[in-house]
Amino acid sequence: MTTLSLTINGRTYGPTDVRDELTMNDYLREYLGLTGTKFGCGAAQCLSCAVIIDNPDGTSYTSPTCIVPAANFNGKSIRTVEGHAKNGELSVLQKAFIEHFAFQCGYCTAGFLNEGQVLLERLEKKRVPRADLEKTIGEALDGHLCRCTGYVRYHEAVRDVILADPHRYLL
Amino acid sequence: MGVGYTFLEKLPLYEDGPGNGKWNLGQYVVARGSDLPLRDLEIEVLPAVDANERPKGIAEVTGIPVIAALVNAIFDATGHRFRALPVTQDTIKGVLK
Amino acid sequence: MKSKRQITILLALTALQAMLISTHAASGAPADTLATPESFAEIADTAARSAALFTEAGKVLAHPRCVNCHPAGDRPRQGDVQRLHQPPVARGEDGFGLPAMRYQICHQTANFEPAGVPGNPAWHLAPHEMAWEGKTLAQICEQIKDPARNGGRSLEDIVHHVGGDPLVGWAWAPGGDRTPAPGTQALAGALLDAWVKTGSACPN
Repeated sequence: MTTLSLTINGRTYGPTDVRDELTMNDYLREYLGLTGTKFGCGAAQCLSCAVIIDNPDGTSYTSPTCIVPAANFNGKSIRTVEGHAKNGELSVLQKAFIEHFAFQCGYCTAGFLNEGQVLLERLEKKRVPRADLEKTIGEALDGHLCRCTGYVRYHEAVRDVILADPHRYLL
Repeated sequence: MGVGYTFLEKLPLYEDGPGNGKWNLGQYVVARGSDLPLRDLEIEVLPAVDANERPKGIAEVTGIPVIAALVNAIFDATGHRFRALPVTQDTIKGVLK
Repeated sequence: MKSKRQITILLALTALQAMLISTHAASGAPADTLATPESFAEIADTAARSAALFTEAGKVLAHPRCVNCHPAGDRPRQGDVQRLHQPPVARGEDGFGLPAMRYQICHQTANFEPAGVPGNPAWHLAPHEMAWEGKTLAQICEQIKDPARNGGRSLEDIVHHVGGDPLVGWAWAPGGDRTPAPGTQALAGALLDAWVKTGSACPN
């Protein structure tokens, strides 16, 4: 058993005692009812389960939750798909996903949203040349599987958010 | 997902495959963004046959013409007709000699 | 009184048995164990003994647990079957993965058995120049001795690396259904130590 305390979408949770074998995915979905994060494969292949981990130094990265013990998230600050909209207002990327019709069944969408958001924040800190943009987006999103859409519109949505504000993201 | 069906999704029968109870997406490989020509897609919508023709659903249409087109392209490139899927890199190498 | 034929057969069997015992000791223990350095003492020629010691340690170096992360390309291999790692991950600039797929997001600081995912605090790929995939033991031996390709290590450093590094040590406790490397980390280090002390000769 481990005691788990963490921050999710700006709100503190815990201390809760959790079994060592409890995955973070089960903790989010079963203990907290935050079912926006999905369970896809349970084998670290699809990243439908990905959440954003925010480091104290201001950098962020996505992490799977299906193969990581909840105990490993102790003390961390994370964002899930439920945390992107602020006061009912969808984020820029969420709106782009809708406008581009980027998702169909929606099962992979939370993962793509988190990954896209982390990519935008990473580019804000370290911009890339326009010529490298498609490759950068491709590498960032390649960990995520989608069976419905063929990926095209996810990539276009992220690309168009970046191209709408090029000085912020591109050299 | 036609690309996955044509090139990647190998599903052996019985114990060699998911019948052994241990398969997941690591063994059943589906297409990722990097497997697809995401920026080189052209979509051509053909005009309706009849002005009064109503729209119809086409559902998972990728399972049909995409595969045929890819296997025809392989024939065009290699002269070999494949009649079993998936056509992996190894199978193509095998007929290139 | 035994017949002449029976004595001949008896002598032949004894000789055969003696020969088998000596070749068994010289060629090393079965595949999943490591012979001790002392068991090579019969090999009189120092260079031959040195090469034999390295060949025995080579059972570790050529094992999937090691070769999978000493790949020839930029993509690790996975499992006893050594398939290409799924999901596809690449080396990245520092051997720790691309920006969106850093290795530690899946590989935690310890093996996580409920998911079957191996883990270690230092999980990463060996650099290109330390690639072992597709190489013969002779080539790996030369590569390990070459400071330009072994990270500037002395031979003693190599012994400590194989015999004591925690990430190397993971190979003997990999978790899941992964076959551990043969023997123990201490034995592997001892074999390489004996190899260095006998002149670090490489097998052919």
